[in-house]
Amino acid sequence: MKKGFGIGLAMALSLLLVGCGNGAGAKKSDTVRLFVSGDTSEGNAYSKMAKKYEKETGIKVEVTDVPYADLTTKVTKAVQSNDAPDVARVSGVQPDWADYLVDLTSVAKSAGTLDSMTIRDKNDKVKALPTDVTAVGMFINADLFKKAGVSYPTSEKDIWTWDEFIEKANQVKAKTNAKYSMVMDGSDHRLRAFTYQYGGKDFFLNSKKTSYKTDQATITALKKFVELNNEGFMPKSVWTSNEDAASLFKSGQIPAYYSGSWQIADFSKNIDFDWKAVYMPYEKTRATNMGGNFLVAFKNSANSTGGKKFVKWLYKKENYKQLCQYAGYIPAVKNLDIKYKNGQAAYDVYNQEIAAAAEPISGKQTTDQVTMTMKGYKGLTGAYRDSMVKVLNKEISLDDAIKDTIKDYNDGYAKK
Amino acid sequence: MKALKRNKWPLLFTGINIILFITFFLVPAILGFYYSLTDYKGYSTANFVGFSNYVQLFQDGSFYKSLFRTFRYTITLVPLVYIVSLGVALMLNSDHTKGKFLAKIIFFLPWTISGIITGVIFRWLFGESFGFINYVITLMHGKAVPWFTNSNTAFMVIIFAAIWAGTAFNMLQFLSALKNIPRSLYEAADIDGATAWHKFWYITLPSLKPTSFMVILLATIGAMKEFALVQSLTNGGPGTDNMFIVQYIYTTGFDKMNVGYASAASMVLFAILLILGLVQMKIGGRTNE
Repeated sequence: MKKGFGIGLAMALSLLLVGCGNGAGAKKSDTVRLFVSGDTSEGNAYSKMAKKYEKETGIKVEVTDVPYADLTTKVTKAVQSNDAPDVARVSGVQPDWADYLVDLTSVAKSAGTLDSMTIRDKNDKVKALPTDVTAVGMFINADLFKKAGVSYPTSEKDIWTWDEFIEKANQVKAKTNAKYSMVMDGSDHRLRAFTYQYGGKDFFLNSKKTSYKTDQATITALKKFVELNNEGFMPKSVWTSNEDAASLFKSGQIPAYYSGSWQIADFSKNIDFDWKAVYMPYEKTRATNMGGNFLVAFKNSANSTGGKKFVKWLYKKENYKQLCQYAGYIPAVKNLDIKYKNGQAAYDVYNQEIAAAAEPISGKQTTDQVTMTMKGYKGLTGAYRDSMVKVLNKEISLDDAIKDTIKDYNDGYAKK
Repeated sequence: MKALKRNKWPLLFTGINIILFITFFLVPAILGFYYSLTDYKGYSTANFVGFSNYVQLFQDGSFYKSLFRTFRYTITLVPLVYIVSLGVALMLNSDHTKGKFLAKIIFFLPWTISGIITGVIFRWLFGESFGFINYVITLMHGKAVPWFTNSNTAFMVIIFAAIWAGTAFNMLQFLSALKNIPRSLYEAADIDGATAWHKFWYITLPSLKPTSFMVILLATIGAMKEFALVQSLTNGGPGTDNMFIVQYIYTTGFDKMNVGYASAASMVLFAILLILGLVQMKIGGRTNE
């Protein structure tokens, strides 16, 4: 009996310890290990490219699909235990990885990746390549516009200003009994694009590089944003209580939706009215706000050279083009024409928006975020959005919100 | 060794529970306390900073705000849940009620739904622009109510959803307790000419004391820890008007990556819950004797 008890206890304990092991470190290997996370179409796209690579070179690429929420932790732990993947597609770069990242400058140069989305370290070496780009943009319910007899820009020549757009959207609302004129995602990423379009630089370092500040155009834009919410031009509940903006637009009762390119795939399948991606209005500057994901390669992996070779191959024009087609990506490489399965017209508008968008401001938020955390800064905590929500809910003034946001920038980007 | 030998069977049967308790409760709790003394950000190293997180926390306005909101929520919710679930249980226990079986199933259904889904359901029902309730109100020529942009109406919706979700479990507790009250007491009261109210006040309620105590204790702790429901219903909104303490801990820890600071806040919550539990046990214990 005693023995049985001992064995039982030992088994229970060993069960707990299983999975804590594996500290052996990387063994040299010919296979290339790639970590990705994404929806099915993205995962499939990388698997297809891996197969093509194996066919061409005879080298196997092992694609591991890691859940999005676990990817950062998983890569960090792997890097710490010298067992990093050769290549990984990530949404950001952690400070712990910085010393182990392969220099990808030559690939960035030969592929011609978008400058505003290519991540460089302090020595100007490229450490992360953009795999795909998302951009803020405007969708309209063309049926409602048609019903109201209101026109919208169909070429780059007749792009509207924000004032013109507001007027037209209000006309549509009045003539079609729509609930609101527009809806904007409750995200500071979208709000930033709005401030850029008013000619603002949002929040930026002062000339002495000691503290962050903002400019008058940004303040004007933010005031306008608050005004549009208070007037009922857009539903306040989206920002203040997290009401789902996309489903409001999908209900067919709102003429315009200020969101981004990631909606195209969903809209193509799930909307039965005539929706369109249209050129975004602007007051002073034509701009968008880009986001995206990045490809990094690690030095302390089992097959680092093989990993870099794979990256180089993947960014060759014809291969990269294929990847974008498979995954439905907007390319992060200049001058690339891609044929998509669905939503071609919408993608075309987005590509033109990205090409025309003011740089580097249109990629600043994302690259800042990646570069700064790579350098070991804490990064922003989302105070921008939170404080704007408080302004809309009349908890604080706009001045206080700006102060809070600047403090967040200073804590996150100006001091370690 | 001797004690171990004597207790080996109890130990064996509770062993898995003990291991689970240590792994999933004790170790995280100790780790949480340790993190609360550091500046841990969720990655890289944790530097020891002593009690500075606590000092900062006790000067933090938004911490007090969310703490008091949680108290307000608890004080409003617990009596309401108590009354509603007792009322439902009494009705289901009454001899005059018809369709008890079906009613029990209907009242119990919400308990099988997770807090997040409850939030989503009530979001649809009370949606400001396209919600069912506002649709009905406008059909009857009323004015649509800003359910989620006004902090008081949003609070009402949260309370309503929480009662809807919390009634089932407490109702079951009361139902089984009601069944255990000896019928002879009521018969004796009938002979003495007691009214229904007298019977409830002098027989039913005193007999339910132990159950009431447990219902109130569990409901209080549950309300203090409310998270999933509010997160999916209003995200603490409008603004931060309905952000409760657990959501505050969550945003500080995981959105703002101040794990050390958030751990300090959860230690304070732990202390508050512990005190609440002890006080209620003391009161409940005395009345049970």
